[in-house]
Amino acid sequence: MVENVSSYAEYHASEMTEWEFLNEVVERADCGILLDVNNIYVSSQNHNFDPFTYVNAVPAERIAQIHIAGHSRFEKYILDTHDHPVLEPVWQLYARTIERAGPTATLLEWDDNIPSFEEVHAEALKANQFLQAAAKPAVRELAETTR
Amino acid sequence: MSELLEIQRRVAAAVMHPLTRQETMPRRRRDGASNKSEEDALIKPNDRLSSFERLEIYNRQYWFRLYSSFEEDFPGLMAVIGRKKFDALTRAYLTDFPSQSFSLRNLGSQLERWLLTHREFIAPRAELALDMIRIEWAHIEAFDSAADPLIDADDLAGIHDGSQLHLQPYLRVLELRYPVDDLIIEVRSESGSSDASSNNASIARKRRTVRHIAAMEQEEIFLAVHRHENSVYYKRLNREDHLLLSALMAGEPIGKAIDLAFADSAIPEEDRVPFLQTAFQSWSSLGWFTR
Repeated sequence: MVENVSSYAEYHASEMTEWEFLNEVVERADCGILLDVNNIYVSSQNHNFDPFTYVNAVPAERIAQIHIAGHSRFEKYILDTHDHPVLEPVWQLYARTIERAGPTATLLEWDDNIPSFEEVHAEALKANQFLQAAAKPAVRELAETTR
Repeated sequence: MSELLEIQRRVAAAVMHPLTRQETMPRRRRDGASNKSEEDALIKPNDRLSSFERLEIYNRQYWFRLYSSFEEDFPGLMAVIGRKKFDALTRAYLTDFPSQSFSLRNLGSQLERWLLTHREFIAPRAELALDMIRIEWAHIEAFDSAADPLIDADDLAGIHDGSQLHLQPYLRVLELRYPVDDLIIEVRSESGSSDASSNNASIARKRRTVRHIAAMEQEEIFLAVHRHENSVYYKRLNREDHLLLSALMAGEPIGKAIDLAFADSAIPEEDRVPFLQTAFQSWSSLGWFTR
């Protein structure tokens, strides 16, 4: 599997978007994607693009695992810090991802300023609500309207 | 060289270049080159950040990651020399020996060698600090070095005086001038309770550790640092145990290793066979002998 990164810089020499690059890599390598939706959100804020464009562009059948995490917002950029609860915009990206890919193994990354086990566990369990919603067509419509 | 490789090398040089004292990216590199013009050539600015500022995020986060990894690996050294000296040592050492490995676990691999010529960073407790980093580096090695298959009964049946006995790659034996095993256990236990670092009990523990370090007197100890069921342990050894294991590790045949272990030994001749039986039985049960 290949995981998408969070990024803070863009190159003059770049010829394609990150999702175009990721798609090209996984198609040529014929491998799966570990889709980190927090990384997509972080990059989208740092580079001014719509994160749903990214999520909608990756081949859903290749998404083998999803990462969710918290991030830190600074004055001019946001940083993938894994030290906060998952923020609402990231949950929305997560909902859209499992709507496209179906219920998928999900990992909550929280490896700095770690709170009690109960708090981390409760945060991880929030993913279940979205996984159940993705499995029910009636709720899928609701997820559609929250985007 | 391809354009991509050229860009990768130039970005890596910028990201891995040491920070200023204020933990910012320097305007000029050590070789006098301008960082700003280099970043302008490679990185697009956006509506909030210049090219320089965007690459500075990577430069700072790279070094902060190295600092935190180094601190995680050497909490005992920090306890001995204090935070201020530890921070200065970290920056100076990592500038001289930047990360060259795919794994951050190798960050401290040259630390002992470097400190032997930079004792000003560990004065006035240089010997105590050196012992501490020896045990901390041994801990890292014991934690994730390879484990070989154990010797079996058939292998044992063929062993004689001239045979070589192989030991687990993760096993380390140390000769130390201070009982730093007790101290590092105390320090790790304190850092493990960091979630309560603001309460009175924790402050009292920290003060106790500082007093313990200040009062620590020389006491020669021999130590095995080893792994059992994925945890690292420190096992005190006798002088003879240490000499025997060191000789076996150096590839000496069993007979010669035993002779070296008992040279100048105070253990009476008649006690040596039971001593060896106990030692080999204990090491065998710990899984130290390999094929």
